[in-house]
Amino acid sequence: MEVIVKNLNKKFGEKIIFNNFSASFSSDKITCIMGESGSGKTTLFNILSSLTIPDSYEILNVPKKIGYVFQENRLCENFSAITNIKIALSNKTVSDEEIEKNLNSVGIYDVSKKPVSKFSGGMKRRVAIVRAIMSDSDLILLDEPLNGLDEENQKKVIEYIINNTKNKVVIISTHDISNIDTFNANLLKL
Amino acid sequence: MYGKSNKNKVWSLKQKFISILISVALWQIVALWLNQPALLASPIDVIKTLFDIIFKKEFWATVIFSFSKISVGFLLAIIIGTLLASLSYKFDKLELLLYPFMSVVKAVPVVSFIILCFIWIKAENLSVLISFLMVLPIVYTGILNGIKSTDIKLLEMAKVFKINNFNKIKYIYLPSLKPQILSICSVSVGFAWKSGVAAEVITIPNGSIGDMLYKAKIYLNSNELLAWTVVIVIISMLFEKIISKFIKFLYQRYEGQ
Repeated sequence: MEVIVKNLNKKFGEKIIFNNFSASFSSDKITCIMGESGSGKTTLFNILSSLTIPDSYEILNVPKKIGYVFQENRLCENFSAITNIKIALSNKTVSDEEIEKNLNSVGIYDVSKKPVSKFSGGMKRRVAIVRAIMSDSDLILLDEPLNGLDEENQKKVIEYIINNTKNKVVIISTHDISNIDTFNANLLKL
Repeated sequence: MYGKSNKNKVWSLKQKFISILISVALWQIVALWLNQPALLASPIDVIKTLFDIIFKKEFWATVIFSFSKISVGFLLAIIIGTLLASLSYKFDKLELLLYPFMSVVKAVPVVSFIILCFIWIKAENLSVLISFLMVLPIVYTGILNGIKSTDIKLLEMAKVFKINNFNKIKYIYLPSLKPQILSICSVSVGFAWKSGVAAEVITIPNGSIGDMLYKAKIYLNSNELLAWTVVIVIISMLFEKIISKFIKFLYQRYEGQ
């Protein structure tokens, strides 16, 4: 599968973010996007997920449903990790045990029924990652997914992402150049 | 942390109790100084009269009559106000259409409504309509503003993950509306009682609290007038407490899932 962006143009006021930008993202290899703050990484994600409307564009093969880890976690704070994940799933037959298994893979144990408001920042981040990966989408957008995670949990999350995104188009926005090797990814500089 | 907040609660209750005691003491002093029971009864006389009327067999029938009418008006306003606010959020034109109606209802004195509506509606049912009309704009405005201030980032998340409308209401809108719903209930219960009893005093339906207040007024029975006022305040406060406890209970049941 391949998501193709052609001749993308977007400006906010006078500031041009994309000027005839074209790129393609394949499911064969993860793509890491790097660039300075304000270079358009999050804007590209928002355009792919239809949250931002570009001035002109041609985008091919974008699935209707997208798994997105936003820069902020965007969780329903009063509800459990399981509920947060469950409401994002289109396949309603996924069991609580299955979700718990995924949460265990990223180092979250025995707290999956507590409200996420009681979780640390790092735990919330991992719940947001599991939600995006489990959301049955062929396109996964991860906006700085490893932010706020300690080294041990970063390893678990990296392994979880690599193992669970086979045959999916995965785009990761990052500031850390070492992520290219870690994810064995293509680099796209903005 | 928990101990500290509990301590603050006890202290705040103590402060409230002391301020009530001071007010009652001042009332007693003014009543003694005036020495005109028809103009201002003393708190001791009011408490005595309160116990007299509580043990009369008509008391509960009177309370139930007014309570049932006013609470029906209140609950209708909660349901219809919430429904209209949700529809107005969805359809801008409806919000525009309702704007003059809600503004007029908010601005027009309650007495004007009572007199106007009395032409059309029987005295027994007028308190339903008046409490409904007084509470409706509070509920409508509060809920609409609450929905409008729902976290846009969570709504974007719901859009990306294609979360259905039922789950959006359950997991995003309702939790975000919790403070508004609690504050609306606490403000509007008092309004419902004030306006409902005012309607009863003007239209005097038989066997209502308003009827009792009116009779106490024409017989210059200040003791009974104030005793019934105390009854209204107590019922209104109890009603508000029950409603807000019930809402908190409902939230507790489904939050943390």
